[in-house]
Amino acid sequence: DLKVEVQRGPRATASGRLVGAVFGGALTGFAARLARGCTSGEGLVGAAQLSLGAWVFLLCIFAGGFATAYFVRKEWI
Amino acid sequence: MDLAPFVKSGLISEALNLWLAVPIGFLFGFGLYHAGFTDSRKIAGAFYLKDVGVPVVMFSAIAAGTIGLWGLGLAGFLDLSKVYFLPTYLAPMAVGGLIFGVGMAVGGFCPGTAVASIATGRVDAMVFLVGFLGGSLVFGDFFPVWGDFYRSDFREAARLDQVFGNSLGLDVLLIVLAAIGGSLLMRAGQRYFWRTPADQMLSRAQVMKYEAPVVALAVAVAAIGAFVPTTSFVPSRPEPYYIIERQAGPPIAASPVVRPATPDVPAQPAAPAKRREGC
Repeated sequence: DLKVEVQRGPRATASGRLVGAVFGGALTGFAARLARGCTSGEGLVGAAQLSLGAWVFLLCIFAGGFATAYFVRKEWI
Repeated sequence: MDLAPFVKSGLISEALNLWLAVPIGFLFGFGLYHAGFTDSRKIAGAFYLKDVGVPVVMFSAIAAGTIGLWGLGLAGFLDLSKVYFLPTYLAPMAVGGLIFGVGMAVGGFCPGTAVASIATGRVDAMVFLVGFLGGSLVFGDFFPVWGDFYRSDFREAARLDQVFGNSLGLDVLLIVLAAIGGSLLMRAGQRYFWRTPADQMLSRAQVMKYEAPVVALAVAVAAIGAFVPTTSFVPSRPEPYYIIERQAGPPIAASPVVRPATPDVPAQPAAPAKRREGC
């Protein structure tokens, strides 16, 4: 489907979601540079290669995500 | 046989190797869209265990990839010493992973899904990508601040079975089992915490019909591979064939300006010993 919208949780506003998107994007961009990869290239391929750094990267992604989920819950649920 | 990687064995040219990225990317975006990953609520929902489709697909991709990679190497089809192996920089990857997780929870995307979501017209994905480029720009512009950290803790090409001392096939089997177990755990968590109605989650009959055969096949293949001695075909320490690792030199943070014309430009043939011949 092609729908121009701002997807957000039921309790969030469009502008709040966009602010979150910019901040999340900046953090993700910085972190992808620092870790030399993102989930597709480093996380999945590196984990399939049994690379230690890739596994650590994946585990830290889940740790960081679960840790911040509580603070941004108004954005999503 | 050693047919693959195709470009390294001369089967396809390097130009074709790059052009093949287009259909592969097409399939990637196609798959992302049909898995529903262009919806940021689905991606962020994983961190609330509300919609665990994303981690389940990731685990299944890791399991399929690892069976395929090492299986093809065992069959002799893939020359494992020519596959680029990710170098391990432990501390930057750990810290980067944490920040990446925070970014995913706040922004609701990861880079690949954001680009796929832009094609469906979602404004938040476009804004995410703008922020993404900004974050990368900040990283580059202020590089001397974290330059030394970026290059710290280099572990060469640490592979899990070397780190823990198991055999390779055993680790592949463990990873497949962990992927299955993790998926089951997350699905159980979703069912427990959110009580999703039955029509949104797969019923037991559907699971047995569609998923169980594939899972059983994966476990069977991995289990067979676990008992095959792998030391014969796997290089003991896969050398990543290009690591642009500048040797020596003063720490980056101490230099007043980031040197634009460093003496160890990567294209130089008389490079430090760490350089490997690339493409």
